Amino acid sequence: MKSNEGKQKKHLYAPPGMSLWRERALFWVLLTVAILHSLEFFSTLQSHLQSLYERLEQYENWGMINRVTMTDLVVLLRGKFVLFGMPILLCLMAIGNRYRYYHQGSKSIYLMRRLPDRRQWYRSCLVQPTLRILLVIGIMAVLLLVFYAVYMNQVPEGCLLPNQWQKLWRWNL
Amino acid sequence: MIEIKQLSKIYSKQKGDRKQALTDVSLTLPRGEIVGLFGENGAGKTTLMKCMLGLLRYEGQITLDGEPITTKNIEKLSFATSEHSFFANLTAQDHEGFYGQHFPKFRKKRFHSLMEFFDLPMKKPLRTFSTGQKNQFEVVLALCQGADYILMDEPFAGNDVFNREDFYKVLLGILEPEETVLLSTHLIEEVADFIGRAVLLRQGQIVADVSTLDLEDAGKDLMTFIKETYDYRGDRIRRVLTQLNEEG
Repeated sequence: MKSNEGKQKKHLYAPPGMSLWRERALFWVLLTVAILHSLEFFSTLQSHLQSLYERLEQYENWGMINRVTMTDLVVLLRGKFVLFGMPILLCLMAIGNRYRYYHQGSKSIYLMRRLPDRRQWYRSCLVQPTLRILLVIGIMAVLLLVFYAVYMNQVPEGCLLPNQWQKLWRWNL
Repeated sequence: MIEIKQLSKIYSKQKGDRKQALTDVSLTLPRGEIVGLFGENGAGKTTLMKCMLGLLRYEGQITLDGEPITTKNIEKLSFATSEHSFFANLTAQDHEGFYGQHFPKFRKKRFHSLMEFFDLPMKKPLRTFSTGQKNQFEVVLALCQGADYILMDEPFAGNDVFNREDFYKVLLGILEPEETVLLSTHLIEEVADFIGRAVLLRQGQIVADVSTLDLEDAGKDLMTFIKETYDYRGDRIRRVLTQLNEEG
């Protein structure tokens, strides 16, 4: 009984009978790759932080270079979010695939278009991919906040250029 | 009652070509009739049904019990097509669930009786069915949706004659007085005894609308009537062959 209810709910948000495991698996793989790639930010940050310092041979220690400024956050972030476009592109393609599914093997589109709840057709094509796109955007936003917080925390105050947050929106990530 | 008034449909093709598929079609389908819709290929039978179901845009007016056909009353119409409108990857059992979920008047008992009668498997994906079985299942769904008006467009293209014979008998046996069937088919002689009325389309226009009782009274059979109406010239084949032989 429960499994039947589960099946019916599944039919609400995906085209009935459409195999979605490949699409789902590919989405999570692409999202993971995009997240891992964005985490490269930390190594970029680290190397830029190191470049603020010079080796002071006489003290056998490291000291900060005079009047040095830190590279802007927006520059460090360049290219770090680019791979998030892949799962988003996949979701957009998934919408197209779901629409096409109703024309493949049979013309189940005729049934979908004459359901008393016409929204069911749109729902089955749009809900899951749209939620996934929102998830990707959400993850990007969280990562951006984390990166910003780490940057502001790690960069010595004297080296920090002003308006880092504002500068983010003047550049393409 | 379904009322169609001055229905016209033009297909716009590429390069600005337009094809007039239906021209000023007016038709009334009261409850409780089995109506045969006949016409040559391209006469507009399928287009007419698709317009009724809201699958195509059209000019004119179609009402169902006085109301325009919208999502509020669309469940009163069901559709069986030779193109098949079921989900090929789902089983019959899954369809039972889907229809039950979306059509509150789904006739579960009738569904199981018909599945048993046609000996169709419940747990196999429909893509594994033979063409004949797919047609049967398409018709089963249309009959069980709980609709008052059942539209069937060439539902038996590919079924053998015994199969079709069985279906007609079952159809007559199970239909309730309020249920209306609009059956489009080329198998005129086969359905002649099962329909109560024949509507003839030619080049997108209704050229005849006659009850089979009136035909009986006039001493005509349906096939003869249709041939007369279509101005069918039986001798044209002989003439063409003779012409070809003379040229050869």
